[in-house]
Amino acid sequence: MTAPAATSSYLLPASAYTSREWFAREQRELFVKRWSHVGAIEDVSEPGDYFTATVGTAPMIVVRGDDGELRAFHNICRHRGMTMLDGAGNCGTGIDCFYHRWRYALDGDLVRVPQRKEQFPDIDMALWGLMPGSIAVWEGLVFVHVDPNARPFEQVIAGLAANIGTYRPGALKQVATRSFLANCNWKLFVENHIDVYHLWYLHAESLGDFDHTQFEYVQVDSDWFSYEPLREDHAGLNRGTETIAHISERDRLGIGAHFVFPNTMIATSAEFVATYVAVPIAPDQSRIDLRIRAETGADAAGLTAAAASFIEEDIHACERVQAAVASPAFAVGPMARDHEHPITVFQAFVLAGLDEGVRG
Amino acid sequence: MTALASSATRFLLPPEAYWSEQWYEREMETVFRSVWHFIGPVSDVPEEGSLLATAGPALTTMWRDGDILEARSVDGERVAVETWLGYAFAHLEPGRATPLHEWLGELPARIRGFRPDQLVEVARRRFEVACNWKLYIENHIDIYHLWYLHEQSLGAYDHPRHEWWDCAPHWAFYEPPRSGVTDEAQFASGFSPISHITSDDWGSGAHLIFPSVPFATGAAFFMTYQCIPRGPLHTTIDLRVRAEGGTTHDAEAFLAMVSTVLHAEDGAACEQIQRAVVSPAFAVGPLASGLEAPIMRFHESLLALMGSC
Repeated sequence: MTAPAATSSYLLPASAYTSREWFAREQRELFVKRWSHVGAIEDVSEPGDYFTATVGTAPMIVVRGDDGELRAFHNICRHRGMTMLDGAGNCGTGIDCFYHRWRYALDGDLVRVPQRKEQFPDIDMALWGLMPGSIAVWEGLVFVHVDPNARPFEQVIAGLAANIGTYRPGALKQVATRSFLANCNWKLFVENHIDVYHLWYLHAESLGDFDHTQFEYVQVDSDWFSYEPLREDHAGLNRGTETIAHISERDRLGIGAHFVFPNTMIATSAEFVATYVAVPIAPDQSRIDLRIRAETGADAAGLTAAAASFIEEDIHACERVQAAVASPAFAVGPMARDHEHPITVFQAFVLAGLDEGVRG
Repeated sequence: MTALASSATRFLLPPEAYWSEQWYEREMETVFRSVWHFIGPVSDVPEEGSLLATAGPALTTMWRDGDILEARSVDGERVAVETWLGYAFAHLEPGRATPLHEWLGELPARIRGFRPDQLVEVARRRFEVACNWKLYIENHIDIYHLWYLHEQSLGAYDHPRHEWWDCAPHWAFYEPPRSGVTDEAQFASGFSPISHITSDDWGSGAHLIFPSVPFATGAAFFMTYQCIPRGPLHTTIDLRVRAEGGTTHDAEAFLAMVSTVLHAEDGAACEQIQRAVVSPAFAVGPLASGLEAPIMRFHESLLALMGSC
């Protein structure tokens, strides 16, 4: 994708947040064509462990094989197109379609077709294995792409790897997950995340310990990485949980907030690395999937409560904007020159992504 | 048994047939204007006044004129009306309509003498499924899934001994109970055997009045479950059950049993396919040469009416 020329203004029309057509185009052009963060290795540690995810409009399965390999497949039976698995769990030594009981091995091979001799006398079983997607694991985080020949994942994750400071999420353990339903378009949640301006006000309490005047960020292509230190007059955080052993002094005394286009957000602190993905459900509805990584023995409930406190503040604000977006009078005024510039860049990349679809 | 058992099977409709607004509009304007629409039991039409019914793309008003049923679309167009076994049917284009009995073709001969007009309605339930109407029909005429999706719920029937008849564009199917198994579940709900049917015809009948009216028969019941399209992604199923009058029966228990098959199993399966249909990777693979052949015939009938076969 070429870097779009960004001007400091709000680039998207109100319909980008309300229209079914716009939403369908995003699903098709932004999400189906990109890597998505869908889970963690702890979710699929044993052979047969699986979880499902919908990437844009594509139902996908991530499953660990008998050979220990992690694989991504389309969650679609090759026979009649059934979505076979739901949620997460362990499917034993293979994946059964409940409709006609076709069975696939954990490596995707079709291994059973009931009544095959009579009903499918000519079938070449080797041709009808599950359709693969692409899978990548970075520091314990699992990403999938619907296309088996996807753009190299290394290009996608390079910005985060270079800008997450001294954190090594893979050295931590996933200690908690939680999903939030947000009655807003997924982009509002992203725009809120990369809006520096609101930290002083919406989060006056929840982020009051941090020195927003020292906030710094870098934009790397479509992605965004930031850091701000604790205020000097602050006595230090004490949530009564393990701090991360391997991080630097600078990281211990600050927080990071990052964004990997199109919808993955990351927050880092002395105690945890959290990812929260804004999954589009409908033009006016999203699901925020929060996953927290911390040291073994960390207070998972306390960390979840801390992360939930700012996520819920953000959801509340985004829902209020969503309520206004549908108004015929909705319009966005002047934007803060620096503190809201990341929103303009984000929107430019959304538009560029949709344009790529138009150009085919 | 099946004339089609050796013919090649292919899934003929593209994925957009299951989600596209344009495809749906075309179906309404072509398929649903070319067929006799199932309206419901004649007794739905009141002695005084009229019945407002949906007939595909058109609202239709039906009333009695003496012993004769008449109908007009709400736009004032004349609508043809005929009846079969106590059910009223309407055709939106009387000039193009073949007589109902001709249109039904072989179907009436294949339903083993059931006379719903000699039964009474004992239960009715509507339920919604989040899928295109055709997925529900395709599931209905898919014989292959009986062994697996309905392993428990239809386990009393002898699937290998099934028979089906291509009454194109309609479809008829029958399978006997497994040897030594009586249809206890129906009778357990207090229903009595239908008096005009002999026990030779007990078992499971499943049929389709093209394009969107599945119906089923058993030792004690005759039920229709019309699929009413509500747009490309939603369908209402209108389940209506007829049985012998004058018996004490537990309609709720019977509905619960039937809903397991038609809603919890079939409806949920169709919704799961609908989720995959919108994937860029969606495709249908080989179909069972005999047990899924009715799906191909259904597609052929649809495409012929849509003018693109």
